[in-house]
Order: sequence, then C-alpha cells, then structure tokens
Amino acid sequence: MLSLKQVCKSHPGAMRPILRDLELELCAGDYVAIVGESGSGKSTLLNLIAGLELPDSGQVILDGCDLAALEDDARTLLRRRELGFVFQAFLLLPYLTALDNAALTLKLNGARHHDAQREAQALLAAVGLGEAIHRFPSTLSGGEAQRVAVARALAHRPKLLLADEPTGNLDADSAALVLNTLREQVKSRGATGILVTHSAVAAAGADRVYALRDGMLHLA
Amino acid sequence: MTGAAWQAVVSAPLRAAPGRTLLALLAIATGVTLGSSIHLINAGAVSAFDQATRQLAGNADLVVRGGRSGFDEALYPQLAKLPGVAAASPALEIEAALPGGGSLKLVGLDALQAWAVQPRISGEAEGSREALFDPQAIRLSAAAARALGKQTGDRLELAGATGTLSLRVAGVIPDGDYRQRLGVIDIAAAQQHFAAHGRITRIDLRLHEGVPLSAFSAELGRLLPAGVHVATPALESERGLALTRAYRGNLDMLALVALFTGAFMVFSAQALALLRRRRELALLRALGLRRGDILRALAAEAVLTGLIGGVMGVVASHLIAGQALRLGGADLGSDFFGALEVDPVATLSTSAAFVALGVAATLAGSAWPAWSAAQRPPARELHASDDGTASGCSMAMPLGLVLLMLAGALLLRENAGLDAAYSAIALILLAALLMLPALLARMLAPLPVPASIGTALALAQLQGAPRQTAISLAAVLASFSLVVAMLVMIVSFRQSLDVWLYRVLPADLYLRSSAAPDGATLDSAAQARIAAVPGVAEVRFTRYISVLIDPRQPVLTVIARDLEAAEAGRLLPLVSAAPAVAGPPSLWASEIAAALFGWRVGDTIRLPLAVAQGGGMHEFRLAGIWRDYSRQHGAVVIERARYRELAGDSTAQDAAVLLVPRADAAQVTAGLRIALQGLPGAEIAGAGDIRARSLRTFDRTFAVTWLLQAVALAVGLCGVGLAFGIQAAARRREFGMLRHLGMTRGDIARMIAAQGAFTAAAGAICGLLTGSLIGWVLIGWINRLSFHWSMDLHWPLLPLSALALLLTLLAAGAALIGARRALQADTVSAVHEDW
Repeated sequence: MLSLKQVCKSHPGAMRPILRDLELELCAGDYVAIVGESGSGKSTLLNLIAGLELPDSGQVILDGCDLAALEDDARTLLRRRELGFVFQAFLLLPYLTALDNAALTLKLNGARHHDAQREAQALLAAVGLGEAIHRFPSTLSGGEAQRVAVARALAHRPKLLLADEPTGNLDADSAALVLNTLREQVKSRGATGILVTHSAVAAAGADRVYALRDGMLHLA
Repeated sequence: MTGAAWQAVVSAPLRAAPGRTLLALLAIATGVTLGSSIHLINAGAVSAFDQATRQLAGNADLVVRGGRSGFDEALYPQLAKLPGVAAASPALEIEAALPGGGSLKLVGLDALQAWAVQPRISGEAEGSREALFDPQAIRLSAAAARALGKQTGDRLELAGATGTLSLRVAGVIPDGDYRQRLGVIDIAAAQQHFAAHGRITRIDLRLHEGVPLSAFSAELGRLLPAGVHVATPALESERGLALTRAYRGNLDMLALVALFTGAFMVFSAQALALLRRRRELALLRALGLRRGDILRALAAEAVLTGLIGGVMGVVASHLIAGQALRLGGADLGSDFFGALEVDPVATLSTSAAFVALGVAATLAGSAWPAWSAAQRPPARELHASDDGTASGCSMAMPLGLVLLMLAGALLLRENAGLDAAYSAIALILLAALLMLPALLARMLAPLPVPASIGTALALAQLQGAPRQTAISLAAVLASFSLVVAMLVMIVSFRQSLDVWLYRVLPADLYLRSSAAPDGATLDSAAQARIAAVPGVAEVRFTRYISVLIDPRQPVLTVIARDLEAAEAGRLLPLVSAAPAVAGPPSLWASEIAAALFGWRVGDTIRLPLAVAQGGGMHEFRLAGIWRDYSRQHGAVVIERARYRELAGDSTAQDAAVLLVPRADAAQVTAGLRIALQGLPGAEIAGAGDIRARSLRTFDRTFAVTWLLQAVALAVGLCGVGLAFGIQAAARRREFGMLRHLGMTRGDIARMIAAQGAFTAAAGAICGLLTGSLIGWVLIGWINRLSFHWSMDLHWPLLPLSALALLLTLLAAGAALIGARRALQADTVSAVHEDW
C-alpha cells in the first residue's frame, strides 16, 4: 500500500537532513504510530507521504504510484481520492455544519450533494455524533470537533489515513474517545492508518509503533 | 499611550504587513488629491472672474447697468452731473462674433472719461492714450492677443452689424492690468460698428471722497429708469458667480466621493484586520495593556495615516490642478467659465483644511473598529477563532430603517435645502451599510448549493459570515451606489434633454443671424426674403432681449417668439399652466426664472422691454412654466407681436424654418444663404445637427464627473482587494487544510474568485437599490435645488446591468489579486500554525 525507499529530505539552510535513507513498508489494514520529538521530522514525513513535498532522493510509492513521477495536479488528485487527514487543530470549516464538514471529502470526489450528505450522516452517527449533525464547529467541544474531522477524513473511503497529533488539543477522556473512534473506523473500513504523535498513550493503540530519530524510523 | 503599546499594536504589525497601511494611505491621498484639485481650480476660476469684473470697473465705486440691449446714453450726462460723482465712464459691452467662429468680448469706452475711472484698460496707465481716439483701432488684452495670435500693428477682423470690420491692433493690455480676453475700442466706434446708436450698457461711477456709498446708491436707484440698476463692483462679481455656485458646489461634493470611499476602505481594512488580530489584542490586554492604550494607539495610527495621506494629496493636487487647467480649462468641461484664464488659487488655510479632511476620513473609518477592538473582553477573545469571523449586531437592521426614515423626513420637510438633501444621501448610505449584513443573509440564504465544490464552499463561507462580507463590501458599496446614482441622474437628464430638444426644435432648419448675441439682426426685409425662399412653407422668427430686473439676480433673457397664446401648450415644454383669463398679455417663464424670481403661475410680471428707447415697465401674466435646459440665467417667452407693439422693434435674430413636403433641405439652405447676404456671421443648421451638438456639449460637461466616479470606484475595488487579502491571510490554515484534502491551488483561486464574484454581485444588487434611491434624491432635490430645472426619471436598465456585471468581474479579479500573497505562500505548513 505504502512504500518509502531510501527517502532523504533536507530543509533549505539546515545543517543536516531531516530525513535520512528512511524506509517504511505498510500494507492495507495496517494501523501504525510514529512517535518523535518536536522537530524530528514527523510533519515532513507526513507531507512526503501525502505528496505535498517531494523527497530529495529516494521514492515514495503510494498504491503503486511513485509520487515524484507525478505532476502536482496528479498528486493532488491522488491525495483527494486515496488519502484522509486528521489534524491536531481539527481545521473544520467554521461556516459549514458538522454534516457539511464531514461530507466535504465526498463532494470533493464528485459525490452528489444528497448522496454525500447521506453517507456523511451515517458516518457521523457511527462516531457518536448523530445528534450534532446540524451544529456549527464553534458550538462543538474539542472531542466532538475532532470526531467530525475523523468522519471527514474517512467519508470518501481513502486507502490511507494520516493523523497528525489528533489528540494534541484534547483532554484525556476526549483523546481516548477520538483514538478509539479512529482505530475502529480505520479497521472497519480496511484502510491503512498512520498516527503521528508524541504521546505514548496515543501510540499504544497502534499495531506497530515507530520512533523517528536522527532522520530514520526505528521500530519501537 | 506607552511606547510598548504603540510597538505592539501599531508599528510591529505595520512592519509585518505594510501593504494595508500603504493602500489606506493611497486611498486617502487620492481622495484628498481629487477634492483639493477641484477646489483649487474652482477657487482659481472664482478669483479670475472676480478680478476681471473688478478690473473692468477700474476704480469705480458703483456700476449702473441695464440688460444686454442697454439703455439710452442720455442717462450718462445726467449721472455725471450729480453731486457726489467725481467721474463717470460710459461703456458699451458687446460680444462680437469672430469670422472664424467664436466671439470676443469688446468694451467701448469714452477715452477721456475712462482714463479717470478705468486707467489700466484704457491705456492711461501705460501712456498709450491715442488708441481710443481712432475708430478703426482696438486694444487687445494680452490673453486675447495670445488666443487670436495678434500683436500690435496687426489687423483683427470682427463681424459687425453690417459686415466684416477690420480693426488695427493699437496696443496690448498687459496681463497685470486685465487678465482675460478683451478688446477695448472707442465707444462711438462701437455704437457705429454694432448698430447701437445712442445706446450704452453701463456707466461706471467714481464718487468723491466721503460720499456715503449706500445712501448715494439708494438715492441713485430712485432716479434710474425702468430696467436700469445700480450695484457695487463686488455685487456685480457676486451676481456672475452666483450662477456657478451650484455647479461648483456639486463638483466639490463629487470630488470628495473618492475621499468618502477611502474612509470606507479604511473602515473595511481596519475592521477585518482587527478581527483577525482579536486573539493577539486579547493577549496584549491579558499581559497588562489597558483598553485606552489600545484605543489611543489605533487612533494615533489613524491620525498619522490621515496626516501623511492628506499631505501627499494636497501636494499632488497642486501639481495636478495646473495640468488640469491647461488640458481641460477652468470650466472643467462645462461652459460656465468659458475661456477664462485661470491659475490655481491655493491658501494655507484650504490646504490645511484638506489635510484635516484626510485625517477626519481616516479617523472616521478607524473609529468603530478601534473602539470595538478595545471593548472586546480578553478572556473570551483569547479562545476565539482566528478566522476573523464577526458576530452580528441585532440592532443594525432596525437602526438602518430608522436612518432611512430620518432621510425621508429630511427630504419631505417643507423648504428642504441642499444641506438636507446631502444629509439624506449620507443617511441612506449609512442605512445601506448597516442593513447590508441582513440583506446579504436574506439574499444568499435561498441560493441552491452549486455543483462545483469550490463554488459551494465560496457560497457557504459568505452565507456563514454575512457581516464579514458586508464589511469587505463597505467601500465598494459606497462608491458603486454613488456611481449608480450618478448614472441614473445623468441618463435621466440626457433622456429628458433629448426629449426636450425634439420638443423645442420642431422645425426642419434653424437660422441665426449671428453667432454672437450682439451681432447683426434680421430686419423686416431680410425676414421677408427668408420667407420667400423656394421650399420654405413657414417661418417663425424669434427676438432675444436681455433685461436686468434685479441687480442681485442674473440678466433675464426675454424670448419674443412668433406664437400665439393658444399655441403655447403645443410649442413650449410646459410643466404647469394656468387657465386663460382676460387681463395682461401672457408670459411663460422657464423653471429657472420662476425659481430665481419666486414667480408662481398666475402672477403679474413686470418687464422693462424697451429700456434703450426709454420705455417703462410692461405687465404680463405668468400663464405657464416651461422646462428650459439651455439658459441657466432664466428666460421668459412672450408673443413677438406683443413685443413689436410695445417696443417698436421688428428685428429678429433666429428663424425656425419649416419646409414644404419633399423639399430639398440643402437647396433651401443655399437659398437662405442668398437671402442672408450681407450677414457674414449668420448660421444655418438642421434640427438634427443642433440636437447632436447639444448632446455632445452635455456629454463633455459630464466627462469630468465620470472621471471622478471612476476613481472612486477604483478606490472601492481596492477596498475589496484589500479586504480579501486580509481575509485570505486569516484563512491560510483553511487553504492549507483544503490543499491537504486534495484541492489544487487553482481550485482555491477559483473559490476565492467565486467568492469575490458572489460578494460583488450581492453588493451590486444592494448598490443598485441604494444608488437608485440616491439617484432619486439627486434628481428630485439636489438638481432641482441647485439648477432649478426638473427632469423625468429614467432607469437605464441595460447600462446598470452592464455596470453591475463589470463590478462583479472586477471584484472577482480584485479578490484574487488581494488573496494572491496568501495563495502563493506555503499554505500547506499553515495547518500547523498556532495563530
């Protein structure tokens, strides 16, 4: 499903590469966590996997496609179709209801308005927000907002879900609820999940945990 | 205010994003430049006009004057002998036609008398007295010599009453003595050349020292015959300038529209920027900055911006005004000041006033956003979203309605003046801005979800934040409303003028004996020859007489026409009429004359029709009021037969010629030219040509207003661009998230463009409504009160739709340009940003 081979990446002006000969192989249904300290390159790694940045050398192969061989628009379309994202700051659109936020990825992939709404409604019910579909983000708690973000990330049935510190802004109870939801939904949909976190508790629910140190991934 | 407050609230954000302040500065500078330039030109024209009037009067204390046709010269020796009069100088003023087109103002003076009263223009001052003794000589002012390309010793040709005159240029009056175009000749020669035997138009009187001016003037007034009045040179000048006051005032107001729009742009930019910085300001409050510190820092920023913008604008206006005078003349396209030679007149006080206006506009634009930012509770604001979403104000809609009602009350008040009308326009604009969020919400809510996700998101964002959208629209709504209002007014005026021209030009051909008002006339023989030209079915002649009824009011034109009272309804564009009754003969006044002299239908009007012949006052009954767009001094129509009977004058100046069916107009024109032989300045034109020429003049008059409106609209569009730039910067994380979810940069750009277009379309609809309302005030009140003429309301649907579409497209482009910086930046990494 996802293969990173000898990936190197440096940031302009940096003394050392942030990622060095990084290797990662994930199959469909894997749910892994990557932990690392601030500045270890976790976000850069996610950007490379998403095709938002390109490696200086090495290959990022997503679903059989070498991302470096694709034009920016083609990478964007691939990301739109095959990837789902959950961010630390939720990043829900404040002017859309929970239902419309969750339906966003479906609509981006061409689903008709009513089909997208029906699908998103079912997913919001599955993550425990069946009663909150018409509420705006400003009226949701952090945990609720992040579960809407999880629904948005999975609504279009992506093959790979990338969650970047999804519990970083949540209290312990909300964090547990979100992590459970995330794992359940990834597993039930047969998707591959990568959870980037610096929380050992968050990482504990993953099938495997990798530590990002000195630009390389180490199985923890 | 502490230095820390200034640094945290103003200087550091300014260094981080200088574009916003720079644009605000430019908007204020542009507004001040336009306002100050127009004011400099208008002040220059007023000063030049006033100077010319005073220089012509020389050192006279009083001016005795009749209408253009003048009065009997026998009055001169009577006045000269009056105790208290030290010197009296008779004069005959003539507007003489130049053979190549155009005219030259001539003044005929009695050399011996003029040396005592008008030494500068008569040649006494520079020792060239002999010119005024030669009937074939003329002294030209330097301005006239330059315009005509003449110098001392050259010959100048003019159209006289009986043919072309050739006069020797005997000298040139220096600019310092008389700045405008003028020719000075011997008074007797003037009377002879222009068939004004025994007639003069003014007597300038210098009184002995110690003679009380007002008492002497009052006493003199009682001695003067009907139609002759006495006035001071200052009043003479004031009378001339009164005609242009409304035009100048309206142009000044129009020039300030860009500054007004600039204030709204400052408001949009400041409101959105402070909404975006709400968490930052809350943090500063939490760290110990007082509410007053924030308010003072923001007020100081506004004052500084306004001060710099105002100074830039005033400096630019001094550079531009001179160029504008050279390119467009002092009249800025209108015919009010003709060929007046003008220098911009600047004073320290007016320059300071325009800088103060710049500061006031910036402060007005910044006041509410600054106050609102300082009032927000920091505890809540620290947890607010950073997308700049503004909460609504439930009182805005009712307050807007109250302002609208207040505007209505001001307009419907009895004797509502110009101040009330302008206040009503300001209230309508404020009401529109207050009601805009609610109107936008109502307009956007029922729209179906677009199929394209980018467009759908654009619409959803606007539906979710109508107040923010309204703030970003403030500047463009203000300028677009005023552009729409001007368009409605100008199109209504043009349409009314077009209809009026068809009404007042029913004949096939029109003939004028001379291009200049004091040129040759058509005597009875010439009239008979014209009527006898083959192809001519009917001719109606007109005689123009100008009379001075009141020295404080302009000279009134009396139009003696070949018409009978029963035909008035058909031949005149009447707006009101009285039923026919027995009594004095009928008179029909133009709307302007009725307004200037306070006449009502049915009133008895007394006119001095035969002043030159020493006649008295003649009574008429005001039988109707008609619309007149051609004589801004006011005019009245009387039956020519009645005039002939009262004044014994059977001459005419104009003829309206109706052709027999299928007559060849070119052949008839040729026949008319033969009939007019001996009148070199005569003009013949078809009704279509006159209509086209009139409409061209109209368009030229309004050209400057379009320029001012275009600048105001450009400032408004800059406001849209600036607002979208600020919003785009606040939405960087949203764009980053959308990029993660698979939207391309192009998708996001299209989304912003769609948002710009939606915003502008909604704003255009509100602008059309607001502008139409303001247009109605312009037509119904401002125009009527300023120029005293009425017009029919026309809605130019096609141009308005095209303008709204253009605004929508331009706003979409402005939104994209404004958001460009945020789009080009690394939006992907913005998802990790904290602020």
